Amino acid sequence: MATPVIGNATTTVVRQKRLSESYVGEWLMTTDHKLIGIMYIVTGFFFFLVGGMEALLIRTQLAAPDAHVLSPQTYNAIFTMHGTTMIFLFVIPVLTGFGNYIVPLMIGARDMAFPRLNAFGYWVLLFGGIFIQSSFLFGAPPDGGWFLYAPLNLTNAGCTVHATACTNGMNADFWALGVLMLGVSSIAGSVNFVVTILKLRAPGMSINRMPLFTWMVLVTSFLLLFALPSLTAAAGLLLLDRHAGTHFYQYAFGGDPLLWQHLFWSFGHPEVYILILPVFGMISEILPVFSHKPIFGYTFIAWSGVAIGFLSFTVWAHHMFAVGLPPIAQAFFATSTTLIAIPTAVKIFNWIATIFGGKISFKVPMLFALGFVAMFLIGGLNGAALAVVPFDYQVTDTYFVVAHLHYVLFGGTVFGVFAGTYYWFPKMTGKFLGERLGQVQFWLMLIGVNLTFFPMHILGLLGMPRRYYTYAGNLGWNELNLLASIGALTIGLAIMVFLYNVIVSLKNGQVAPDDPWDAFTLEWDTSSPPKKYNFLHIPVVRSRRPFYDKKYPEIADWKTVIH
Amino acid sequence: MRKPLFNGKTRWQVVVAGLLLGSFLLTACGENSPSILNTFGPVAASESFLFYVILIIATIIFVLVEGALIFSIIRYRERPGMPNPRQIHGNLRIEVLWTVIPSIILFIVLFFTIQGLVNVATQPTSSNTLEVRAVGHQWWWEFYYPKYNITTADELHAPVNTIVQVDLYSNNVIHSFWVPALTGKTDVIPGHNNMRWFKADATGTFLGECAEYCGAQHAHMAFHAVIQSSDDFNTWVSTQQQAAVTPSFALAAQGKQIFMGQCTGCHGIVGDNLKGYDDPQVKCNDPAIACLVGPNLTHFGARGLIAGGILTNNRDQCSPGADLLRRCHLAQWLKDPQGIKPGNDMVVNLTDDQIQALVAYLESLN
Amino acid sequence: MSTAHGEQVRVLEEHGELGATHSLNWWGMIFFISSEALIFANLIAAYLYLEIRAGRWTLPSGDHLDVIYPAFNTVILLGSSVPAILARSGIAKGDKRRLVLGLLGTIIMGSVFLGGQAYEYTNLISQNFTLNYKTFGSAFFTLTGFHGLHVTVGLIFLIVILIRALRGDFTAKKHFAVEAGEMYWHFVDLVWILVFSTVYLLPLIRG
Ligand code: HEA
Ligand code: HEA
Ligand code: HEC
Ligand code: CUA
Ligand SMILES: [Cu+2]
Repeated sequence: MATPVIGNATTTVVRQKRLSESYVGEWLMTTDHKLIGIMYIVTGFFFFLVGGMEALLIRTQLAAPDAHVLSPQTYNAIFTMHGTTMIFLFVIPVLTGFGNYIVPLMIGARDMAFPRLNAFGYWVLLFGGIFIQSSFLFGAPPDGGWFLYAPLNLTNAGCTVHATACTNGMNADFWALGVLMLGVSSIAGSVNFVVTILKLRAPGMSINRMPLFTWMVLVTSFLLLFALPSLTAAAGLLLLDRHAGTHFYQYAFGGDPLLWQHLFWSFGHPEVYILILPVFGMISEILPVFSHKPIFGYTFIAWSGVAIGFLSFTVWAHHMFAVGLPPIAQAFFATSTTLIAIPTAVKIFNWIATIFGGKISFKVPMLFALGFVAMFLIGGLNGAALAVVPFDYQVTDTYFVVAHLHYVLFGGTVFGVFAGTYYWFPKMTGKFLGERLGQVQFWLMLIGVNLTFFPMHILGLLGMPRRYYTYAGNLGWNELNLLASIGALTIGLAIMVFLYNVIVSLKNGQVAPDDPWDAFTLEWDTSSPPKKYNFLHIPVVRSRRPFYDKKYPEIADWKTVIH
Repeated sequence: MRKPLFNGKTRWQVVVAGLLLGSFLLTACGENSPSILNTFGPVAASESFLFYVILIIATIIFVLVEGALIFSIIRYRERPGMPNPRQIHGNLRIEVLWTVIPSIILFIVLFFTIQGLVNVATQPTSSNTLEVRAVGHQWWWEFYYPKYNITTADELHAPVNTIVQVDLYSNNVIHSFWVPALTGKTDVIPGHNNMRWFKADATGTFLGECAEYCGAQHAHMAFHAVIQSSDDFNTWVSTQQQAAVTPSFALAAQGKQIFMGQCTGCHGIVGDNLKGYDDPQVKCNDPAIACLVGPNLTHFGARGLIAGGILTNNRDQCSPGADLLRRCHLAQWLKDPQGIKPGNDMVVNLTDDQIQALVAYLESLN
Repeated sequence: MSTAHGEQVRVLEEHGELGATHSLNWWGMIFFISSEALIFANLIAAYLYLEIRAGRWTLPSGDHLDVIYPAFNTVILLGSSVPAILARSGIAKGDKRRLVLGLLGTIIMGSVFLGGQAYEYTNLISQNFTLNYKTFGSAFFTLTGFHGLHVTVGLIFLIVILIRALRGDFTAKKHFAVEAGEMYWHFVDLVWILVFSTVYLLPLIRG
């Protein structure tokens, strides 16, 4: 058998080590999707800690009424940066990281389509992230909320007819320039994913044999490609309004603050599905493996993801029910929002059907995946409640919305991310993450999340608006807020356990075999961690579970199922 | 793996305990809360009705789906010697079923949604509709009654069982008008003259809150919706229409002087520096007119709140005396408005004697 | 393109699964451009939104924008796509002379368009129609200026390609940069049709 030649065989000449061959240099100069993936993931988790500490500050301030831990200005900067960091600098990078690491392996590719563009995307992200965070050093952190509504984001001169406190400082500029940079990074990443997935799949892996994680990364990439332009436009016009004398959002000169909201949310709503779809994909990989069953309703899960993608462009104004749109428009957006719940429901049912009748082994990745389904359901149901427009008039901009967004983002996305982390960690590092510590983390987190975010529903119903830096003690909100703060500490504890677990496991964790979970997809058909070129031979695929076929040739899927 | 690590029962206990705790807190501690479920009018009532609709439906779905999940988790956990399960890939009929059934439920919800939407949007026509202009400032509310030509701050007075039409204006950033007991939110957006109607079916004082993030003191932009019998309301209107009474005692007269000297740049008192009330919508939207940045104080003494509700106006504690600053909220406000409400627009520097005089004057204005 | 997946492309080609006609780069360019196009879509949407809210937009003089002159400019820009096509089809056959001439033609016509736009701008500015003349000025200069920016970027791109062409970098087999330049140029042209229709033609229809 001829050894396949990887790259151009170069004659070895004795020469000095280049920068790219030292340990640090290798990371700095790499274009290997696996290293870049890990850099994304590590960066994302780092920002998770930053955003998490901000959350702890929020919860400290709100633990008791009339607290003076943070000044109002600081509080406002903290919650703005909390939201911005979590969404733009934690979830997106981490998910991009998993996509980077896993997708080429899953589809049997040697690398992403554009490795250098890939590295570029990472460095722009890192730079953008540091740029936004550096606003703290300049004493001008963004403080207009994570969606930075106009006209509060304008300079005082552009904001109004008479003197008003808007945003004269650089705060809004940091935000706008920062998200523009992150946008560039995401566009680079998305182009790369789309081309990689569409063009570089292993022979035989037709689109309907693609692993579901890959499916969801594909849909997500399209969402980014088509949604980010709205944010780019919104932020660009904002910078012009602030510095070039245009009047897009300046009502005193005929502009319209609502233009910002329309532009922002036509990015912002697809964005929230960008934050969850890859996680849907992860869950669709993990549940079947640990149930020892194929995914139930593959086609429906895949295409419901596509449906969600399309619909997500039609629902943006459900964030604007209170702005006084004509009732007919509100009815339209209520309808589209209702529609989008249907494909989501389809996914949930298929997941349950996947574990139904299976043989479930409760390894930590599975715990998190099941926790995901349980928690996301709550977030989805109260999302559906928010789509009931008249009810939304009451609870919009209250803690009910805060509860919703954390159930879907924490109970959903973060649980999914941890499921993925525990699942793929052995592949990435060759070591298992500790099982016991993982269980401790899971239960702490499950309790913590419900303790923190469930009371927020009730706070919303009791009339507590969001983005209040403090509240009076006689409104009946004290106990629930205290509970939420205790919950946040519990989550913090869980995260500490996780960090400890990572460190311990990296040092002397149990060594992982190539296929520790008896999994189905191609990434497990490589060494742990995979070699630089991923596959010695590009595999040929004949079903949706190529690696399963290889392991169990007598009962291979391609013999028993027709796709 | 031997031990059942994923114990479904524990989770149920957590959930049930959470729900119990929730409903307990909702009733026990929620008494003073501006709860959206404690409604006093048709608008809020139809909004909270929809909450119960969706709550019931969502609870049923929650129990069923979460139940199916937990059942599967317990029933199909791996046990020693368990054979590999049958490899089932899907089932078209089931897929159709669980696409159609949720769709039907969702469309029922949607039907209620749109019905409620129309309900809340259509303002009943009534000959004695009260029109109020609410203007959102950073960070306090101003209310102007075009029919009676009066202006107040921090307090929206309206008669019971009357349609109240609130026209919403802002010349600065976006605020949101919200009285949980009476009506859900409508945003107050510069350049969009939104409208909100409500009808209160009981008298009382209800908390209103600003519900759109509007800057540093968004948390302190509350007001009271004071719903009165129509007699009381009419009395209130006629007092408001009068100009401020010239103080009858020396301390207050001295206060008036200080006011005329230091405060008129930002505040107005009809009879002192103002001839009459202005429509703030007209006044504050014209760059050519100097729009007063502070609340109209003509009948300040009769109001319940100070500066967006950050303090209550405890008049009974405001009789002159050495410990005035310890007792009287107004005095505290005048002493250090920036300390009490950091970032607000009022900057003053008053001696304690001046404060004694100003308090005497302002609290006499009722 | 890294050698690692050069190998993969080879395997895929062996299995006849790489829809042979277009390279990875071509696909990358397509998706990049479509995202870019959506920025224009958003700006156009913003333009129309503000125009509808304003009721009727006119210049300080009360007139509509002059459409004859920009129409002439439009013809030049659209026409410039022809030499671009010639350039690429030339090099595809290995004809380097046609490549250079085609590029030159495109660059010249593109520059004329930009010059024309600059002339139009000075003209308007002299009538006190500027970036901060109401929302009209803001929207007009932002949208057309953003397009002008793209033309400029396209021109720089083409000039770089021209220099490389003169150095003999391209062959019949290897000339993706030329193809990319052409794609980008077509995109800039097509978008202009939309921008032109929104800014100049629509007010005519509305009267
Ligand atoms: C991961 C992110 C994520 C996801 C997946 C969702 C999912 C959904 N969201 Fe959420 N949303 C956010 C993130 C997300 N959201 C964020 C961050 C905000 C706040 C932004 C801000 O203001 O800061 C927000 C705000 C938000 C609002 C605006 C609230 C307001 O400001 O007033 C609304 C209103 O309609 C809404 C609705 C929905 C709906 C209907 C879904 C649906 O997709 C949910 C569908 C799922 C289900 C419904 C459960 C499963 C279904 C069944 C079991 C079938 C049967 C169900 C029924 C019959 C009800 N969301
Ligand atoms: C993925 C998104 C995400 C995540 C994970 C979180 C996580 C958390 N969020 Fe966040 N949140 C948002 C997205 C998210 N949030 C958004 C978008 C908003 C809206 C913002 C806006 O209104 O503009 C918001 C707003 C928001 C508010 C409302 C603020 C307000 O309206 O005034 C609150 C209040 O309690 C809150 C709390 C929390 C808490 C307690 C957590 C916790 O779960 C956090 C848990 C993490 C930790 C506790 C960190 C652990 C770290 C350590 C233990 C330190 C170790 C340190 C070292 C080793 C150095 N969030
Ligand atoms: C620079 C402007 C400015 C000056 C000068 C000023 N105020 Fe104020 N005042 C304000 C503003 C603005 C508010 C509302 C603050 C808020 O709620 O955010 C206010 C609020 C008040 C209130 C509470 C009113 C209410 O209805 O809630 C009182 C009382 C008051 N000021 C009294 C005074 C007195 C007395 C003086 C003079 C000694 C004075 N102010 C000087 C701007 C000013
Ligand atoms: Cu006004 Cu918030
Ligand atoms: Cu949304």
